[in-house]
Amino acid sequence: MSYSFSIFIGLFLLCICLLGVLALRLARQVRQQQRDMDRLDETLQRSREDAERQKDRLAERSDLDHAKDEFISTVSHELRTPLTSIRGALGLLSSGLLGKGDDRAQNLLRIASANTERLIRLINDILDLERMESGRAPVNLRRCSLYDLAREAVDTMNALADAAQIRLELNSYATHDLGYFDADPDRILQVLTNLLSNAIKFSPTNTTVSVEIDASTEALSLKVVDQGRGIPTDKLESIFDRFQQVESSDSSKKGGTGLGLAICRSIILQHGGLIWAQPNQGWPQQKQGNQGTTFCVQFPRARVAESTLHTMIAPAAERGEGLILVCDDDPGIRTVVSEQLRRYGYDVIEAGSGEEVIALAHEQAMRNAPAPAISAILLDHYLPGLSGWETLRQLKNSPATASIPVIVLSVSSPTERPLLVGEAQGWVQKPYNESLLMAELARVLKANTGPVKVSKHNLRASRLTA
Amino acid sequence: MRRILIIDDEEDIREVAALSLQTTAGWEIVTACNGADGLRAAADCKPVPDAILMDVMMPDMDGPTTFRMMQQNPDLAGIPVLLLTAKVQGVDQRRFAGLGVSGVLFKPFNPLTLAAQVSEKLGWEDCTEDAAPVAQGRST
Repeated sequence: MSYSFSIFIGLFLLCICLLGVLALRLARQVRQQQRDMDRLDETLQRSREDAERQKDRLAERSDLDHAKDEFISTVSHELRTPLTSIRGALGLLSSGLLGKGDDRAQNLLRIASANTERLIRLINDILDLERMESGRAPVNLRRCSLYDLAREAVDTMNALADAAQIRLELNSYATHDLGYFDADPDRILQVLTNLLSNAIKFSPTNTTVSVEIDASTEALSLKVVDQGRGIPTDKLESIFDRFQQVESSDSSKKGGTGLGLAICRSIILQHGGLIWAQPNQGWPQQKQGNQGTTFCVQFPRARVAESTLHTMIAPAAERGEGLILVCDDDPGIRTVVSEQLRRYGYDVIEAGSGEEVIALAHEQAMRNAPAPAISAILLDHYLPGLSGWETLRQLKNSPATASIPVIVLSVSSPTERPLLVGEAQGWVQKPYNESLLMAELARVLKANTGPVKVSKHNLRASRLTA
Repeated sequence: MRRILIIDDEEDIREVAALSLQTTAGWEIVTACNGADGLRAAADCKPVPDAILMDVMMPDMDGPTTFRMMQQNPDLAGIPVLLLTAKVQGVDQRRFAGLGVSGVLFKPFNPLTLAAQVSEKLGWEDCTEDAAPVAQGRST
């Protein structure tokens, strides 16, 4: 009896010991978990503060933008007011409508009047360029025919061409269906008249300036070909920079502002296109070294809006799912990309700047289920303010957003890719091809082992590796 | 002969614009130096002016306010008004479009074609009866 009692006591004590050990281990685990929770809280708190700071920075930036707009608007108005009187007085005097002075006086008036016109063009161009490069010039996309726009530009410039004894020619090799694209017609017209005006200015008399339109399934392109003096190879790129001309005397001799091509480039980039200059190739009527220049403009196929084309570009990538954050400072491009993504089954949110991307990415990461976290970010590399690369770096440095795959959309040439791709998971060159973009997105999402959900586990993992 | 009222606070601009319209189109010009003065001048004209060319940024009462006050006066409400402004930004242009004026012309204007621009905006066809504006380099 006492034997079985002592066994009972023994078992009882053993149980107590086991329970004690169990309790101790449980307590330790609870403490560990508590520590984990604290750490998570800390991370969450820090991410929240990051997001708050980004929001503040965004607000500050929009205040700054507003102040800048005000300033530019005021300067513009204040410059124009005295110029109105000067232009009016000189214009009337030099026209001879009020009677003619002697020839020398008349010549001086002509000089003053011509230079007033030049100053006005310069002010207009500077403001135009400033508005565009700061991303505040809205692009109003409409479906247009490139041929019709070119026709209008040629008609507008005919008077100038006649005066310079230059023949203007317009040829289209594009079939009707392929000639349409989504663009801001006023802006494109501005580019075309500018290219034509340059070609006319720098062509010798009795030559032809021809505009050639071509369209393939890859791109819609336009060329302005002149038989002028040509552009030295080392200046083919720099002529698109501000105040860069082939000859430094060009602006005074030809009355240009030195900003025309910079404006053209801004407009074409806003449309997701490319613009470049090259010496004429295989021009049949080459004369005495006057090889001439070809200015090429190319629009991405993604903007070719004819509905038949959408069926031609069969979706190569399977239907996708997930939330994609699209960042481009050009609202037109954002809209086009977003529409394409939605057609493929993705959900889309849009951001207009790098700062906004970071704020949105943090906000989404902080939001609890069932709202989905961001599966991938499509990031333009050419952004005002926080650049694409800076944005990418900040995303990768923050634990809350480091695991979101990023695909960079860039106009830079593929040879620069290794230098520029950095920590991005994917790369698509602009002007992009819709099916290539979708394929790249699908590849990146798959490589990232399914859609990334910033769970507590992920947070801890990225914290441990950080 | 058409009669035009020019309202602008800058005396030099009033003078240049008046001379431009007189010499290129032969119109009769009345001028006023601010909104209130403009309203008085418009009401005093017998008959009322055929059109009003009005600055936007003026002290005390700006162009848009003057325009709205004109609309409340049945004698003046029918006169076509063109804004002549140095405000060329897109935001400003959208604001002007909502006012209900007959058109907007921008400063600095070309003194040789200002009358033609006014006529075009107002659908007049007889602007060049007295003096033809000098055509710019168009050779046919």
